[in-house]
Amino acid sequence: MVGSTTVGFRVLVTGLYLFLLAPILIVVPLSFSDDNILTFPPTSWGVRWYAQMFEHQALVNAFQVSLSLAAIVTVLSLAAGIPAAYALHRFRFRGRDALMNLFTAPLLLPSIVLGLSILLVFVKLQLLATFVGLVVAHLIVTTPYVVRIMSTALTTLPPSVEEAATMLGASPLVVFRRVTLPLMMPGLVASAALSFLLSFDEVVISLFITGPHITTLPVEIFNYVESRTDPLIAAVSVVLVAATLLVVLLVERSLGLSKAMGK
Amino acid sequence: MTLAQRTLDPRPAHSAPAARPERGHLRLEGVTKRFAGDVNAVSDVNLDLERGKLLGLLGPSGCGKTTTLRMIAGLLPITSGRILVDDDDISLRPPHQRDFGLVFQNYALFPHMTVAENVAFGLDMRRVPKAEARRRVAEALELVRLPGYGERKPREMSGGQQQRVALARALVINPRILLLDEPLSNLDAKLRDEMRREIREIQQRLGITTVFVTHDQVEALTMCDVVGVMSGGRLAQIGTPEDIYERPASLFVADFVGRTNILDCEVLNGHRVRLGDGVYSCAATTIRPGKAKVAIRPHRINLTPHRDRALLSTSTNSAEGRVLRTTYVGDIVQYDIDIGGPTLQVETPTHGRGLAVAVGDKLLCEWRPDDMLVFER
Ligand SMILES: Nc1ncnc2c1ncn2[C@@H]1O[C@H](COP(=O)(O)OP(=O)(O)OP(=O)(O)O)[C@@H](O)[C@H]1O
Ligand SMILES: [Mg+2]
Repeated sequence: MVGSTTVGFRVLVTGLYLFLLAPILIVVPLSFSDDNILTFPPTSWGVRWYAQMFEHQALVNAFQVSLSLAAIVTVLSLAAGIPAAYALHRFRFRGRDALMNLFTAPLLLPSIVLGLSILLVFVKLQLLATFVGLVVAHLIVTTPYVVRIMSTALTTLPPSVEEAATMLGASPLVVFRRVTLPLMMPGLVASAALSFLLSFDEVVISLFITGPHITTLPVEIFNYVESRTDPLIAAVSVVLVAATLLVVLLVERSLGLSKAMGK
Repeated sequence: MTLAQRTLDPRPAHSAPAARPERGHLRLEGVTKRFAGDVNAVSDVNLDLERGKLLGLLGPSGCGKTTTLRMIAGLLPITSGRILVDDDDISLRPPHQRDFGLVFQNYALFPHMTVAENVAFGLDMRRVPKAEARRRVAEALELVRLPGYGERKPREMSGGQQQRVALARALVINPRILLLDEPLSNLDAKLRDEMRREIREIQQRLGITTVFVTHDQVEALTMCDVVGVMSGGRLAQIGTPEDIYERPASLFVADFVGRTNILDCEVLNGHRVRLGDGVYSCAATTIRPGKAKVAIRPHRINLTPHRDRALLSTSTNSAEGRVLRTTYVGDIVQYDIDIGGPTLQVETPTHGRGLAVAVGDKLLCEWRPDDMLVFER
């Protein structure tokens, strides 16, 4: 009885993993195809498409845009989200809940609705197809996550430690730097990673506001597969998966590290 | 010179003179705190604590002890009233500029710092040189009996150990006023007793003006110069431990501090009351004749075998009673005795021979009129 449950459970878990990993299991072999069109399984093997990838100027440009975009968006959403979360946590004022809801409302909106409204506003502001426009649009997506995660991190702060620091003579700024911030580190790392990945992967909203002169990697990939069906796209995908994995590993390492340091 | 004497010496030879702030003389004038929802958590508290004295704030859970302490600390703005230190109104001074030490009810150690870093934090804020800070941290940790624990993280320590770290962290800065919120509540009975003595000794030797919150009356009576009993946000009585115990100002104080028989009675005149079937002399009272309450400490009642009646002095109250129940506690025996109406609880120490008393026995209860206090109902 127990044994059969365990076997059944294992089959279930294996099945789930296969389902989740299926795209990767198909894409990785595809990327090492030497064929001219996408066929699975590939009939011949090689790294031709990886080499081709670096020759493809539009993709390389889009990759650079996406990378710097994600980095800038991450920094800015932390810079906006952390003080907001801190103020919401620290001070009790009228309309506090309303403000919290306002900050996190974009989480509830479907991206397509958000994208359309951003498009309408950006047309007026002449921000369409500009880097600044992309930054602003992505900030609208990422900042609510930062506020949410940091608020949660702050509510799990041990009670009275900030007051204890105050009593020992620390000014509010020092309390934040020496006590609050270090204790928020896990939340901070998590929201930084999430912001980065959200921005780097973002397609729907970017589709509305990218243009011929500036485009992000996901949008470029999207455009590419509309017109071409060669294994280049599989190679790009593998690079993307690897990059994402790297970020996740970095987070895991630093969070694990900070746990070891006594969080 | 013992270790404790060396540690935290107010004027260590090699530190700059006047580095230590003056010990404060603390005064509260009509201090009141009203939280949202217009119930006063603390109402009109007045007290005057001399320099170097230890005040115990005693009261049941929720009576406003922590709230009062937090107002003194500056962590809670006061709704009205004034707080003065050495005649300086500090009501509006932010907490980090008050130079007070506070030990929190829940320790509030910094989880991301080692024990030594925790204790050093206040010294760091005061820009104490590294070497001196290291020395003072080590001494403070020895003082709270945690030598060699400096490299641990708070979560690697027991509740009692964390509490002692919190105490070291507050003491090491030589605070102008020390505020303690039930700092011993998590220690076992023996360690608590030792720490009581230790805190009291440090406090007296350094002459730190201290406010000590507790709900343990033994702690309040044994450690403090002055005890303030709080009830429902008010200071019900403030006085020496003896005042509080021997001359409680209200039924609440009599009942809360120490064990007491509280019985219904009828006041006949300024010095006589009727209790059940008997009429007894009581401590002089101004309460008008009529229904009232009377308080008698169980251990102030003497039990004698019935046949000794002839020995009675006329200045003592006496009542015949029948034993309803006996309870052996160890150092004392408690008896419930029916004296014709009310039931008295009586305590006698258990030494050597003692009375061989059984349930149903007839005994004589005697007590002095001064030990019979009358209160409004
Ligand atoms: N922030 C707050 N907002 C509203 N009411 C509060 C707040 N803090 C305390 N109170 C109320 O004020 C009263 C006094 O609380 P306080 O914490 O001072 O009690 P205490 O005497 O320290 O009790 P304990 O012995 O349980 O620690 C309580 O009725 C409590 O509910
Ligand atoms: Mg309390």
